[in-house]
Amino acid sequence: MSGVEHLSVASVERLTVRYGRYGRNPALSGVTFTVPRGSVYALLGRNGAGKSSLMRCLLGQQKPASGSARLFNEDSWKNRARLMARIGIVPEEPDAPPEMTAREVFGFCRKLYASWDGKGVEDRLSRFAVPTGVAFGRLSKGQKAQVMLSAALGHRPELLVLDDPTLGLDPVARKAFFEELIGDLADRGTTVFLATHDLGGIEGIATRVGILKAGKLVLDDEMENVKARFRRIHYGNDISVEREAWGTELDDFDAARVRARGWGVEAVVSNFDEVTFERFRQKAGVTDAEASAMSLEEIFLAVAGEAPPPDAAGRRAAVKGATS
Amino acid sequence: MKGFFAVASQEIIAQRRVFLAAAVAAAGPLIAPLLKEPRSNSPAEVRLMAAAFLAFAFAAALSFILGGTALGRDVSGGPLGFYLSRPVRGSAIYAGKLAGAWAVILLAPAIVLLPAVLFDLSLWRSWFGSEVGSIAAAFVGATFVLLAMGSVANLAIRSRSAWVGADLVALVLWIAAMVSIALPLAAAQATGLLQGLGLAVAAGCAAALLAAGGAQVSIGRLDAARGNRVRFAVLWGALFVVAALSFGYVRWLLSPSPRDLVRAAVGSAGSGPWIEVEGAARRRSGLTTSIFFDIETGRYVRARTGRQGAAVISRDGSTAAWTEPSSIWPDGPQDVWMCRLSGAKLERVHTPISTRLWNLEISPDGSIVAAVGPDSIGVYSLATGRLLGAIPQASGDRFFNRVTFPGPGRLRLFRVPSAGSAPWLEPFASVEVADFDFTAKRLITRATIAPIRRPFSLSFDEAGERLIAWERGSSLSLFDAATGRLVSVLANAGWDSASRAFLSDGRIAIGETSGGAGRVHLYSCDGEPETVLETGSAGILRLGGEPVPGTLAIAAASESSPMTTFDASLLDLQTGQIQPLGRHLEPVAARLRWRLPNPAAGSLATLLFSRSDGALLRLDPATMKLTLVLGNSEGKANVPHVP
Repeated sequence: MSGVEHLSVASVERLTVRYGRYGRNPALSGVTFTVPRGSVYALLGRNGAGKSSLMRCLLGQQKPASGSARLFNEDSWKNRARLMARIGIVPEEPDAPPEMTAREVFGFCRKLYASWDGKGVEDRLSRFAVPTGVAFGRLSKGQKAQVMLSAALGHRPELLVLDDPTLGLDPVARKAFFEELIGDLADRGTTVFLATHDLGGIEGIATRVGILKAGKLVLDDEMENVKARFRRIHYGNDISVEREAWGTELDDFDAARVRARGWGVEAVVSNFDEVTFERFRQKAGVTDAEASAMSLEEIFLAVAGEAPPPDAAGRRAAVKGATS
Repeated sequence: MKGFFAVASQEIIAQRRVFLAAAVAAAGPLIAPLLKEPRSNSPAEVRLMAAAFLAFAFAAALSFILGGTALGRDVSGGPLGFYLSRPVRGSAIYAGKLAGAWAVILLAPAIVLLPAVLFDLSLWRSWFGSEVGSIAAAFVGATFVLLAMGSVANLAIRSRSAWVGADLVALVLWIAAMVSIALPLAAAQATGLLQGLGLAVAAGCAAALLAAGGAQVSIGRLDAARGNRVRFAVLWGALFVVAALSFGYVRWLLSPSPRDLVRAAVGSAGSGPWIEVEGAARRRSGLTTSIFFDIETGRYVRARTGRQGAAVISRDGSTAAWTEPSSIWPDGPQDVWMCRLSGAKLERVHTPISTRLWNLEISPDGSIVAAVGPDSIGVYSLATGRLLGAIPQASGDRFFNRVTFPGPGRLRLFRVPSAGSAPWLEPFASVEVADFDFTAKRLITRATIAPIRRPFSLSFDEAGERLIAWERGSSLSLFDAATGRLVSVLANAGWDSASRAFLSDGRIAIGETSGGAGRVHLYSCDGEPETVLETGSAGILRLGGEPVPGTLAIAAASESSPMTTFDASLLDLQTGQIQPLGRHLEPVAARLRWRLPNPAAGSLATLLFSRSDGALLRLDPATMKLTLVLGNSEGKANVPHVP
């Protein structure tokens, strides 16, 4: 066992999931990443990027076509039932049986977990004024989310897995949900793996981020690194004949997105550093170059929102075509 | 198990409203007698009947609903994710859900039933007291199967996938397979075995349904496509294993060897080594089977199975014929099969002959069979199946029919015409003797033997020209079968029992007991008394055949009862000397005469003895030693003691 494996709470390796007849439609293609112990890992991706498939595989609820998903260094498909004792899960859609009341949900959970914190659960629900005697199906979305979060935290899990838990919640309920989560994390230091579209909500919480795009993991890094290496660069462009195009001046960067504007070029680069940027500024034809920091949402939009820019050969061909 | 009990108890809690509904429904039967004045039933009967009906309706509806919701919706929709997110194994989720729902299904009807039962406990006991256990077992089993079926059907339908179509195709194939597997048992009227098979198949189905639902949850989990594949594979794999096991079991049931038969009745050809053994097959719930067996080589041909139909061997030992039902209906048509016994290869041949029949006779050379049925007596060529001639049967003729083949192209019939619908209640009968010339299609009535007091039985000599009629009260009379002339009255009432045999020299032997002693009376061919031979103390005496001319096999028992065992001896008809052969033995020929002409002296039928444990032995006339032909060589150890 390597040191990384020992420290990881969850990991997937070359995970591939296919759907459709004869598995012709891949939902995930060779995804590999690790969730370190104590981290808050945010998995981002557009709808259909493969987040839910990945979640299901990681939780042992779906068998991958190939590759492996591991929790606490054990195969999650083979050892699902045992592993679930160490994990709390808040699903995308609150899935408790609709006829059960919150009290019955917790009564059921109490029978399954040795370390069930009944008082903590009741306190949490009372803080949010969630009625415990009403059928789950008749609760509001926010109340359901709090019940599911309480059920997930009630046995003090080592890993909390949240699949877009704030989907459909209003801003107040969303804020309350994340505050509750932050409070719990501060208390216990629980590892969290969450998939979400609520980028603003998790920006201050997540310590590591991964972005899925069309079934492939296109980004997997510490949040600090991501914030540091992603920059938006604006510059005037005297290099290309056509001002709407760009040339080879960005070749030193990994450009996640490039757009030619009337006033120049806007690029999002994923390997920004000051030395390279200084060299870029000195290039002939590059004028008024500026680099600005990006929010997580901007980074996500740049990485997952659009088709990638053409490679260098493509750009040269475009320039050549424009000049001839 | 913690997960299983948690899921099961949660399911019961979730369905708690059902108990409330059952409690409300339980009041219905109590007020039922007040709603309408019962005409033919007492208030207690009305209460109990209403409660039983309501309980049944509750159980059926709950099985259907909970199978679809608790086990269909909850293990295929969102709630499955809830359970899979807990430390509970997939199999425990499904089994817990099933057990919880099943408990609700069993408890709710009990709540409906209980007040009425307590109210009318004595009536309940008188109705169901002795069978409450079996009723409860059937109820529990039926609800379980219904629940599992509802669950899997709902899972399949909810999937809305192409597997539902595959399920339907597999269902049709499976039903077709099971029907074809069960048909031979149904045709053999093996009701007990069919019930046993049905119960086993139901249990197998329940197990398959349970396994399929469990596999869909524990292996498919939230992957619907995989779950459907797994459910289909497990369900139909298991059900077709059930079908394959049923097929193998039925094949085994229908394939006993001669050694598997117990309490065998034996028929024999006039010559040759073939015998027909009929008996209840061991370990097969007494399924009656008939087998043709070559005692020289051990080869055998399996004939009919079941109590209906007939199996015969031609007098020359060349041909066997038998019937097998062509449908599952009692008294339906029977197909005639045949086998040439003289060939090196024994081949069962399905002849084109198919008719309703009770009895089958075969000509001495094995070329023709006569099928005696309720509508007609048909004569057929066995080789081609061609109908050579037929005589319609009047409805009253159906209760006694014996046919023989006295010569080429002729069939002799012994019928008892009766106009009444219940002739067995009439004190006297007449036996009509007629020859049917099936070449000329002409029926010639030869004689009428009357009156004969019922009940009666007839014994024929080898040629079918003479017959002895036994009438109630042990009256024995000798008739000329060709003319119906009474030749002689052999004995009048007074004997405790009487057995008769035509001897090889034409004389007649009558065995009787009276005063605790047995005697054999010898008569001339014309029925004139000749001599009486004492055979010692006996309560019943039976006559076999002549293993060698002039020596008669006899069997004596101390008393006449179904459990009686006989001791066999050889009686020298010249000197009256008796040579004991063995205990618990009876000559096979002693039981042949009701259906066959008297066996020829020295023929195989006269040499065979059946032992009380079902074993068959053959007498070597040269050494007078018995050798085992069929059965357990250690069987004597099991023979009950005869004082």
